[in-house]
Amino acid sequence: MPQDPEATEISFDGSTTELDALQRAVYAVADLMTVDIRASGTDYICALFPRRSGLDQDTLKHRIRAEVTDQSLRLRIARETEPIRNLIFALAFSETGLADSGKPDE
Amino acid sequence: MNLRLLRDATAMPPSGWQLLPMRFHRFDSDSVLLTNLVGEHLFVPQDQFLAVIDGTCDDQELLARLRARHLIQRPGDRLPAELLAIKLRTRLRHLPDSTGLHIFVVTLRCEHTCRYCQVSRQSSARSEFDMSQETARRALALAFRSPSPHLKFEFQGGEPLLNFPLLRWIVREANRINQDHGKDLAFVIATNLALLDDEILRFCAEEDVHISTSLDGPADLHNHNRRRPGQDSWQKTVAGIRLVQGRLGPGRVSALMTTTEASLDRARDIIDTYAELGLRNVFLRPISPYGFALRPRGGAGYDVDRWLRFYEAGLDYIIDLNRGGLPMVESYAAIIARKMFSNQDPGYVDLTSPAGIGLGALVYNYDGDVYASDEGRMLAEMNDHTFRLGNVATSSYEDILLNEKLLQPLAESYTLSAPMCHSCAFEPYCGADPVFHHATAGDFVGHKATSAFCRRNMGIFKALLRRAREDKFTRELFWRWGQR
Amino acid sequence: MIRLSGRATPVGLDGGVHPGIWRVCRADEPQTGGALACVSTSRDIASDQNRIHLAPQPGATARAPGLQLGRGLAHIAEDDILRISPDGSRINVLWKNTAVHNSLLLTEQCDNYCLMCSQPPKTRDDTWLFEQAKRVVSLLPPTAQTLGLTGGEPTLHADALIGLLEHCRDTAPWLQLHLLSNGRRFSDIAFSQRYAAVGLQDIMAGIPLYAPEPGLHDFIVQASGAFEETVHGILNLATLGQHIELRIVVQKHTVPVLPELAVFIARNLPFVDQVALMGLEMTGLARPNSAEVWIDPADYQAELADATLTLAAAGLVTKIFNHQLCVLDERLWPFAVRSISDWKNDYLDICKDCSVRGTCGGVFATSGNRLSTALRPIHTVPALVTIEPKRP
Repeated sequence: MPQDPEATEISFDGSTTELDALQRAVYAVADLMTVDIRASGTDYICALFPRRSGLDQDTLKHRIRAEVTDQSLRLRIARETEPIRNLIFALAFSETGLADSGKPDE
Repeated sequence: MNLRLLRDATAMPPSGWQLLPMRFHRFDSDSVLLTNLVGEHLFVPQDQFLAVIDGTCDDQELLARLRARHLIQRPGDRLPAELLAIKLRTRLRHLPDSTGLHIFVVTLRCEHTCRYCQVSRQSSARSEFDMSQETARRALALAFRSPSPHLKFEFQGGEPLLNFPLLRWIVREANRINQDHGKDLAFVIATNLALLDDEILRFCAEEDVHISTSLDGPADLHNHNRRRPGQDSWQKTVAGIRLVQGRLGPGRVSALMTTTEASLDRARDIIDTYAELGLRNVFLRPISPYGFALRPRGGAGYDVDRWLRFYEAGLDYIIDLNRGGLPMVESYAAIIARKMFSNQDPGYVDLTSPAGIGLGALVYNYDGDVYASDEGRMLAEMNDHTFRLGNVATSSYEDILLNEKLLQPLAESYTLSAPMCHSCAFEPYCGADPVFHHATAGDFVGHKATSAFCRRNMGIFKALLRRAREDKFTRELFWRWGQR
Repeated sequence: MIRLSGRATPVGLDGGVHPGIWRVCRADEPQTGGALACVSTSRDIASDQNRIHLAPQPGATARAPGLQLGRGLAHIAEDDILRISPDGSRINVLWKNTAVHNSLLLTEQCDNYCLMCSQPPKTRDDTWLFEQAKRVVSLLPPTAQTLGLTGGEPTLHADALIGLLEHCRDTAPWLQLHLLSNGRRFSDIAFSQRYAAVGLQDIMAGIPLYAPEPGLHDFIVQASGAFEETVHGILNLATLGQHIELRIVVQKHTVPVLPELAVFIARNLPFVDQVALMGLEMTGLARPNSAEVWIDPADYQAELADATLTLAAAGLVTKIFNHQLCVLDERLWPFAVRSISDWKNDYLDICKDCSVRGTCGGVFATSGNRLSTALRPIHTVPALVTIEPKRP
């Protein structure tokens, strides 16, 4: 069993970062690193383990920070657009079709 | 000039718009790709992206384009939701029309010994590996249970022409049964062409049967891959293609390449071979992971990035041929272009969600076993029967299509609920491949961060979008490919 | 260019001219008593002018009152339909039998106010125009093939319009009708259903669409909410299986979005029967607004080609109207239709030597000095000269 290379640590402020976003980010960067998430007070402490040699600390940190930002953004967009998304699906599969001038159920 | 409505009045104020369902991908250092619910896309400058989300963007021209592409709307707009719903419904409308493709493995016998063949190599003599007429009859009965108004019957093997009598019987029987159904039938024989003779050609002409063959590239490449006693596979293939074109017409024969490591530096040579033979469609396929032991790194077994360089070289060469007036088409790009630039489904079983297993294609093996896909059958050759749905002798149509062995991979691999896929900007262009992920990662979903399927397809999507964005001729070419 | 209205001098007229709508008889026409009013023509040698006779029957011209036609009306001939003022001094040609296109004005009222409107809206009550239209339809010769119904906005008077359409169905069911409308009223599904229920064999709604999003379209038509209603109307018509033509006037504001509009139509409205890209007519509001709307067609050939080829590749029947062949990108010649109505068109002196003059529609007589710098005679005939739009 090869030895685990040294882990890099990075922390995320729990009051500004959702755990959901963090977990999705960790999943998405799995090609570069595996991550241990530990809650500590209001923060999440992440231990980053590079998947292969040649990946320096800064690269890993930048990558996961950027991914957390993007996953947070995705969650935010999904939340904001969920009502209209449901409406569109309801319209798409409604039986009354579009020859109906009544307002669709909101 | 007295205007009742000023241009400013129709502008969008800060926070004056709502987001419509959208997904994003950081395309390059300057731009972010946005896609809407039905796969229409728009590039947004990196420095404007957050402003669009936040409501602070003041670039009215950009906002107008976002509005036109159904990525944002004004509060109170009702049309975007209606139009998106219509487009969504249009994209999904073929879902109930299962199953379009029925593959009949009429024999396992073959006189080639191709390096990459996943089918057992049986010598040409033993007919215990032929499909029986009874099996074929039952398989046809199942096929005609499909709701689809179009049925395509594809004959495979081994070398299907080694069991030509049964093949002929199946075609005639299918047409006879169809008198009660009125479906639109198509027939294709996937053959190495070596056994073509007058009788077979006459039959194909009479019954409107198409020919599909393997052409890996120029002679040295093709013969290196596909070994035959006499080492003349390429010569026979080319002769066969010309024969079919002459006797049945140029549109009646198509070719597919199989990509190996040896192909990766020969993109232009391969395409030239196709062009010289008057073949207008080239399908630059990935290297198949099946038939080999489970591979590390998500199942590539080869460098995906190196394959992408091969693909892009081939794509660029084809675009240039078009510029020069030769209308070659890269088939995979054309399939994706249809998803990018129209609301029509290209009906390609290997890049669709829900996956094409069972719903898109069913495979009837020579022994009557029914598989959810061609690759599912190949796995069975290696003793993995995950995708065997039943047998024509013992299973009803309902047994096969309501089988948990089919439903579970369909559900788990569905892109709108799979991790990473559901929030991927390219999801409308992509598909689910539970067979690939089962073979390479051990489950139906795989892990997209390390999946060769994901890496390859994303690379292709970006290659197509980048070229369409940078060059007008290419943009128009891909648009035309998408409308076919 | 043909003049459609002009002066006449009554001869032997006692009392007023009744009724107001008359059709010029054919020489071989049998007795036309009853509902038909009929005039016949003759030439007055003395004054060298044409004369029409207001006689109910062709044979009875000798003692019938007559009208001497002003020079501009010398073209009046068999099967033309005329409105004659009660005192016989003014004649309007409502239907010109030899014209390729005939349209009936149904109202000048409109709820849009397009920057380039060729028929500037008026608010006065003019519903009598519907009655006039009915009368014209009743008088149409059996050889009549197509009829345009225009305004203003004809659908503003729903009952009158439906009444007229029913009248067309009952008296001239073979007619190919082309209704020009901004489409907004069709967003009312009940009205759309009434329209569809008339059951006309062959009617197409020609609906303008100027942008792929509400901001620009509403600005061009000068009405908030117009885009939503118009596209809603188009969707309703499509659901009811009605024929639809989208009309895009190519002007300064629409040129930059033309390619995007083509993509929008291909993705959102692919079911329309045809898309018409129209050259700008410098009349009506286009004149005072010319700085806002005029653009030399030579300067927008790239966008026009982009949009046309995008639509055509997507399987939409695409036609280009009101463009001179010398100004058009040659790739677009197969899409060009000779469309400027006989009564509106003109050729320039330079067109005299042009080898494709016969297939070119010429320019709008109203162009004034807003003519493309690219107008020039074509001396060699290219390999492909056709006015048939290509269906891909």
